[in-house]
Amino acid sequence: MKRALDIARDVRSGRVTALAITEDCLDRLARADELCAVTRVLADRARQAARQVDAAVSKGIDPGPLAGVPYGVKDLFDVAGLPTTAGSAIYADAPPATQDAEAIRRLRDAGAVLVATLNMDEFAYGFATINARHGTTRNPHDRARLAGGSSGGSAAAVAAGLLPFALGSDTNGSIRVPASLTGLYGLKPTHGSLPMTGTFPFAESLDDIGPFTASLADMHALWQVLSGRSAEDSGPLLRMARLGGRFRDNARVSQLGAIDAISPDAPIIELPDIARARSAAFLITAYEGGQLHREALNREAMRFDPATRDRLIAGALVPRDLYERAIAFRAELQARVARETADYDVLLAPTTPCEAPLIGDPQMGPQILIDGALRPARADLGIHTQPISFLGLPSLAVPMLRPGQLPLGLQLIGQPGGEAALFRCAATLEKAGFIGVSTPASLRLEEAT
Amino acid sequence: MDGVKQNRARATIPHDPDAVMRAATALGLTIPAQCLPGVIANLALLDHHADIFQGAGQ
Repeated sequence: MKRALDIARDVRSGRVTALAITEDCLDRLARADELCAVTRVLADRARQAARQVDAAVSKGIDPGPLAGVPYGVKDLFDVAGLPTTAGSAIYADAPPATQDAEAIRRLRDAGAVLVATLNMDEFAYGFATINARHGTTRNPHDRARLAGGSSGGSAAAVAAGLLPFALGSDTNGSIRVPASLTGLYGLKPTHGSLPMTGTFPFAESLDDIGPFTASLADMHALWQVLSGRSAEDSGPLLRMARLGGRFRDNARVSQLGAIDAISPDAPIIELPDIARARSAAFLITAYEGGQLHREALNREAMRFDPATRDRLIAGALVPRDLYERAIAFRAELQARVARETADYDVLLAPTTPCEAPLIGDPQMGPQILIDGALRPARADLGIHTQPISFLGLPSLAVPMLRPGQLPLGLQLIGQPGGEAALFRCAATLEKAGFIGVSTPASLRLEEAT
Repeated sequence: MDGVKQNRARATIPHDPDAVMRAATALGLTIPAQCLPGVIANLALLDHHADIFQGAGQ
């Protein structure tokens, strides 16, 4: 599918109708069951929205910068008239949302057309998108592998060319991990900078939302629409550093090679207490998730996804005192890291420690190597993203340009409110050929036939 | 230990079956029997992270 900005340009100019774009998108979605990325197709709503865009164009009214661009949302955004399930059977029959999530409202005002809700780990608890109700989302680059999670449906739908963009949520890496594994751009903004109203929470003190795109220009446009801010295209020379320690100890040679080639003279710095930060994030997430679902666990534990249920019950048993210590540590560490990284605009790090793992044995679950030992992918794919969420920093996951190989990503991490620097940095890397989206081989074959 | 000092006693997470059931009862939380092995495995993982966070492990 075309990039979002190309579609919007064609719709605004009258070269193509939003309805034709929508019908093409609905047709693609109907043929993509095997990916297990889509949970609900919103055909009637999408057609109605597309007709409104076309009516505006025919009257000479500008429908907005995303005119007629179809998109999907992770299954935790409120969509008026539908229950918000957060990927769970428990909420399948919940009362329907009375209005759209604020992010959807902003996209609608910009002319975008919502066409689908997308698969996720139940209640966003996991990095795998293994969902007992909807199934395991497959990676479009190799369907025997995970797409990552918890926003895996959003990532897979964009990577497979079903949608030009999608929204996800990121508590500990749930946008950046699947972006890395499916070869997309994925943005976790500065904590609290994009609207959470109308989203089903996971761990509220860490939750953020953000987009997946297949182009940097689209990501930039979406940031402007969702945040209401503009990101300057130019500015002083960016000051960069490479993150060392655990980030370099758990990375592919190709990731380190790319980071070192991007900025060979940048210092390698170690963030303080990074292992403790990740563990504190783990505890905060478990506690907040456990508390959020405690009543439902008491009422109907056996209706939860078994893997999520056991994690949430365990989280409910985390002592409050430990949680409060982790929260206090977060504030202290944020202040310390701000002091120690004040001289840098962009920190370079791997996004995931490896390429997409094989889905493998359903009993054992997919495994990955962390610090030389096999660990469950569902919990540990976020080793490099979780500490950054803990610090509340913005992080743009960018795909290394490596056509023909499994995707792998890097994080461009900024100062709070420093998304503009990340976009500038990414633009430079794209121009220099370090980053870019590669089409999955299966799609290249389809396009050739 | 680097960073923030931990002066208070180390907090522990229950992860043997009796301690887990006692903690659940105290919180008014019912754990179905078939969930107990999975819950205990997850509590062990959380205890590992509690150790790292509190400076007792890596």
